[in-house]
Amino acid sequence: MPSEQGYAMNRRHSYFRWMAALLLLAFNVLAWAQTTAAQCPDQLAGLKSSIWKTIEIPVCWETSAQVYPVERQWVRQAVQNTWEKESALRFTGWGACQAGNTGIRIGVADINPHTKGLGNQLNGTTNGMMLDFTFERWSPRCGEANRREFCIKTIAVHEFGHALGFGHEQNRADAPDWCQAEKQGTSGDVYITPYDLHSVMNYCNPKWSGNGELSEQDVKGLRAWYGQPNRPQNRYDGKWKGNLTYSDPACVADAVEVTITGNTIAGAMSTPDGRRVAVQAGLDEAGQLKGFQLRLSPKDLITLRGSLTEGTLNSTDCGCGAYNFRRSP
Amino acid sequence: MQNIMGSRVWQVQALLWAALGLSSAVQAQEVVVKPAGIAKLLQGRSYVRLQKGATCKANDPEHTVLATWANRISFSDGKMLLWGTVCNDSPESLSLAEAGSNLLVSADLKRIVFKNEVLRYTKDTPKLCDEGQWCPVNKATP
Repeated sequence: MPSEQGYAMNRRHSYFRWMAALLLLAFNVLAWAQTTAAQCPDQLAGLKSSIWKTIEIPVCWETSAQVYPVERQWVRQAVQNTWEKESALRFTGWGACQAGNTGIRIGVADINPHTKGLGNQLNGTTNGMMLDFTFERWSPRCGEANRREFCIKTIAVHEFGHALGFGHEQNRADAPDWCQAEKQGTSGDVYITPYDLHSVMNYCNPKWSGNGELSEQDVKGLRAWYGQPNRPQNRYDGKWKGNLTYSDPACVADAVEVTITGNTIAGAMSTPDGRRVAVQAGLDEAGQLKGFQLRLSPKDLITLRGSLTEGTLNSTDCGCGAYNFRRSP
Repeated sequence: MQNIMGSRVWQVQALLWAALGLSSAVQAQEVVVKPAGIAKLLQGRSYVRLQKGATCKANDPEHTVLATWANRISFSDGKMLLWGTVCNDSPESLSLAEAGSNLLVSADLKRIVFKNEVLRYTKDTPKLCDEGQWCPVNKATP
């Protein structure tokens, strides 16, 4: 039987517990209000915030280069033939991961293939994407000889969709009820295209993950976020400054400023003696200069050959030389 | 990741939960883990809630129906990953600061409560059948 003192202590304890409960309630209401206020403006950008801010995304493998070389190539091909082919995106690297590597880090294990988040949430995350190449303990029918390549490629396309920030299509509020029953993982919060049964990101697709082929709506969504396929305007649009140097020590280096719009280059060179010479040239799909000539005088013509960023030049007045262009801030 | 060590949310929650003796979900004899260092303590740990008869549809060519846990939460790289079923391939990723006000951890780290759901620590990912996690229960139509 509790003593009187004990009883009083229990009452006091009980009093403190009630106070704490009230404080906790008040605190949680305040915290909820703060959270709501802080998150509301971001709701439309929730997963939009997972869009990569670059169109060149590094990719590396957590496993050594000697392991699964063929399967890795399948993955790379699948990504090149879909997400890369249909947008301005470039997945670069594909070597072994080093400590501190950013971008998408791919691990390989016989488990459910997955990504640990969406889009740039994976940036630099160890084993941020996991792929299965053996299928002994997960989806064993994919391990059958005639299906393995198909499964590896199809899964890679789906997982890279997540890595680009795309959620499961069946999670959408406008997906039919029968399909929403398959809701899995993070839901997208920005609907770029109408609901798409045929998306590679839809578990309900009658063809499993669209057989690894992007649907029309996939392509539209992809381009809305990551631009049109690799055309010069996606990569080179803007102002550039070039330096022209000559082998003839008597010739002073020249500076050229151009503006690139699509595959058209327009600009001018300013010479040390105050002349200004206009240039009109082109840029091909691979970023190589076309018809880049600067005529300083009837007898003095400078011709540039190479990529936009660097190459060789020939001047009828100053002989051979080199040039480089860099983006102008 | 935001530094939760200095997070006022954690500090206040911890003090109040300690004063309350914790909720019914986390037993009274346990004390909530102090916020300092909790990210390190949770790093690499995984928690599940098992539920008999739970199933999900795998994203495989056959749309195989699998036995699953009801939910799994893991902690890695300072993030909390909400997996849902065994079929899911893109967990929701939250920073501990984002999860903070909804997450409670028992003092022995054996249980977490997230949004009122109790999950238990599992050293190894639990086997759902003898084979592991690939446990078909029947075939579903695509």
